[in-house]
Order: sequence, then C-alpha cells, then structure tokens
Amino acid sequence: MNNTNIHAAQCDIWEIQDSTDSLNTVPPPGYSPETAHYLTGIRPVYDSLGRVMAQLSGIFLLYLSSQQRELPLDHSMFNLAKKQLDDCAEQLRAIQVPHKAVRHHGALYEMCQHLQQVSKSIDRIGTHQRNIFDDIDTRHVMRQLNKSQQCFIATSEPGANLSPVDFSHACCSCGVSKGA
Amino acid sequence: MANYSIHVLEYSYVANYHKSGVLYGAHNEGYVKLPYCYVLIRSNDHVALVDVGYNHKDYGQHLAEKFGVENWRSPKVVLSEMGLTPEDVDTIFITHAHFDHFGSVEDFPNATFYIQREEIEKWVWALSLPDRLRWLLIAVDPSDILRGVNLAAQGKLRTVDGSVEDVLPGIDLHLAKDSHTFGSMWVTVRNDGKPDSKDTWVLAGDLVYQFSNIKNDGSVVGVDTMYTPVGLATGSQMNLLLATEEMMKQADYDDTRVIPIHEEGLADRFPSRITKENLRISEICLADNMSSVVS
Repeated sequence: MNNTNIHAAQCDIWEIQDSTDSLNTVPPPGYSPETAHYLTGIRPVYDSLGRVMAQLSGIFLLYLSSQQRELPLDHSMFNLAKKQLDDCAEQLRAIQVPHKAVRHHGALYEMCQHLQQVSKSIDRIGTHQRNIFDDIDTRHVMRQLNKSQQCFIATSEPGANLSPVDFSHACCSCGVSKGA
Repeated sequence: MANYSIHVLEYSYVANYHKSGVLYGAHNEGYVKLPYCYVLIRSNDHVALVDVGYNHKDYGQHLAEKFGVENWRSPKVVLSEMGLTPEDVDTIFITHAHFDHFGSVEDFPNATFYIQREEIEKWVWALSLPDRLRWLLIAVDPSDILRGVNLAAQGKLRTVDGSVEDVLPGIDLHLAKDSHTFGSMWVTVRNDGKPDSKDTWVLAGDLVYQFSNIKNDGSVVGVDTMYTPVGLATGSQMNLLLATEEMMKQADYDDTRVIPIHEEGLADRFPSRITKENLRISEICLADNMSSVVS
C-alpha cells in the first residue's frame, strides 16, 4: 500500500466536505415513521461498521498470509479504522431508538464492541512492539471478528438499504430489476 | 498429451443483462444472457477450481428479487454432475474478490486457495477512503474478506505476488494489476506441461466476459476486429486491453483458447450439455485418459 502511486488514506486530498449524507435522508418505505427514521439514521453506522470489520479483517488476513508473519500495518490506515470505530460508538449512543428497533440497535452495539476488541488486540501489538501473534491472540481476534460478522448479517435489512454488499454496480446489477 | 480436463460449470445466471455491462460503450444495444460459472480443472492427481461462486444463503433472495439472478445451485449440486463433491476439490484459484467469485469458500473444506496479494491490499486501502469513493468497493462483501481470514488462519489461503509458474504442474497464475479489479488474476493451463506449450488454455476470470471482448467489430477505427474491454473496470480499460493482449499471446493468438466464463456462446464453440437443473456444462478439453461428460 505504501509503495503504490495512489493517495494514502490520510492524504490531505481526501479532506473535503463529504456530500453523500443527503443520500441517506430518504426514509425507507414499508416501516413505521419511527422505525424508518431510525433506519435512515443508522445506515451510515451500519455501513461504517461493515467497512471497519473488512479493514481489520484485511489487515489481519495480510498478516496471516505473510511468509514473514509480520503485521503489515499501515498505521495511518489502522488509526483511521479506530477513529471510524470510535465515531460509530458515539453515533450509536446518540441515536434515538424506537421500541421495535431495540434488538437491532443492540446487535450493532455488540458488533461495535467486538470490533473494539479486535482493534485493541492489534493496538496492543503495536504498543509492545510485538509483531508476532501467538495462537491465543489469533484465536481471540478471529473469534471477535466472526462474532462481529454474525451481528453484521443479523442487522442487514435490504429493504432499508442495509446490505452487506453494494450490488448497484456489480456483475448482476445490470439485470432487469424486479424490485424497482 | 493432455494432462487436464477443463469444464466450465454454470451455477446461476442473469437472463437479461445490459450489453453495455459486457462490452464497454455498447449503450442501448439491448440485453444478453449472463451465465455465472466457475471452471473445473481435473487431472489424475488434482481437482481444481477457478473461482467458487457466491454464497447464496447470505443474500441470494435479495439478488434474485432485485437483480434477476436466477436458478442458483450450490457447488454440491453443480459438482455432482461431474461425479465430484466439494470435498474432492484440493486447489482453488480466486481470480478476484467480487462476491460472485469469492463468496462460497466455506463449501470447500479440503482446498487450498490462491489469490493475488495486490487484490487484498488495495481492497483494505479502498475501505479506508471516504464514502464518496465507495464506488471502489462495488461488489465486495466485507464478510468475504473475513472468510479469507478464516482460510488464512487454517493455512489454506496463499497470497500470490504477480506471476507464479507451476502452482500445480503446468498451471500458472498471472496478475492483471488495476484492471477489472485492483489485483485480478488469470489462470494459464499448459496442458502438455511444457514451458513452451502448444496446448495452452487461458482461463480469463472477469478480464474477459464474453467472446466480443476479444473479437469485436473494429470498423469504427478502420480495422476488422479489435479488443474491447468489459464494462466494469476498477482500474483502467487500458490495463484490461493489455491483459487481453498478454492472454492472447500466451494462447498463440488463438482466441478460441481464451475462455470467458460469462459467455453463453461457449455452447456453440465447445461440446456442451444442459443439466437437469437447467444449467450448462461446457467441455473445453479432455485429459488423455478421461471420457466426455457431455456426450
């Protein structure tokens, strides 16, 4: 990642105002107004948690598949994932949760906690200048990642655009839409 | 002497797919059928696959309802037509990390997987970018990356840096950097096992969707035919064309030797049959000692 001719995640070029929030303001149809409001508000958190899960998974995957077994940690990128995770936790605390969405919100909160555990494990390695996971560390990180994935799948709600994959430009997306 | 049998196995399809998705610039030219397939490479010693399809249980219904993906069948059902089970597969080459190629890894408990390291590294980078750049993440399922972690922890995932020869005897892997995806890969089978093989098959992944990407009408630029890239490139169209040129070079410029898996017309070019599940099997070549499964 560092040896490519592309902008790093922390590059100033990305520091312009994000204009995509407006995409999330249309309430999903078929839900009560309170639930629709919640789903609209929670979507950015859901998306961010999915991305953080993939980022941490990717960093760990690169470590596990490395011949040298060194953690190829792009610290700025890892720090960005940590910041996103902190932001998610804050947003989860701030959002108003209707009665019908309590379990959904609880599952996302649980996902956030699992990912924080993963983040701490990786952080601890950096702090102690220790580039080798032992088996216990590995199992712990994997267990937390897999639990977070279970929460991620459980909180998917395709009708409200809470979907693990952006299919809109995928190989299948040019098919005649049956749902539109 | 041919060491490997090669079959293209359809596991699902989109009946009506915009042609512009297949062929860059083909706007308002109607629809084509887009089969979803993986490729079986089989010898006396190995059962290998190129890609594994997607994990239907996670989002199959969503795909079917919203995007018209039809008739998905599990690897167990698809491989049974070849007299095989997913447990028989020992090697899997993942051409890229899109959900429909990398999604069903858990179905193959005895396989070692190969993927380009570049593909994983740049997905991780892209995940860290702001939301307005999310187009870079299309068709990637975060859970698939986690499935990759599980494979790696079991020692079943090998990341590859660029080209590697003889991953299995006579089978080479090649990187097409910043093309269809960040680190797409194609698989070359030198079926006589020789370094300067005269019996080469190129399994193109999504670097080529259909025959038209290799041989398209070139009248617009005053030639008979020309390469034309697929409709989706996270990298560049130029890199797609350069990869096509390299694949064709390996196939000694015999375009029938570059196999696109999203091509319905494989049935016209190679012996094929339709299974009882209404899915196609195309027989690209047979190893010396193996019998046809389509006739």
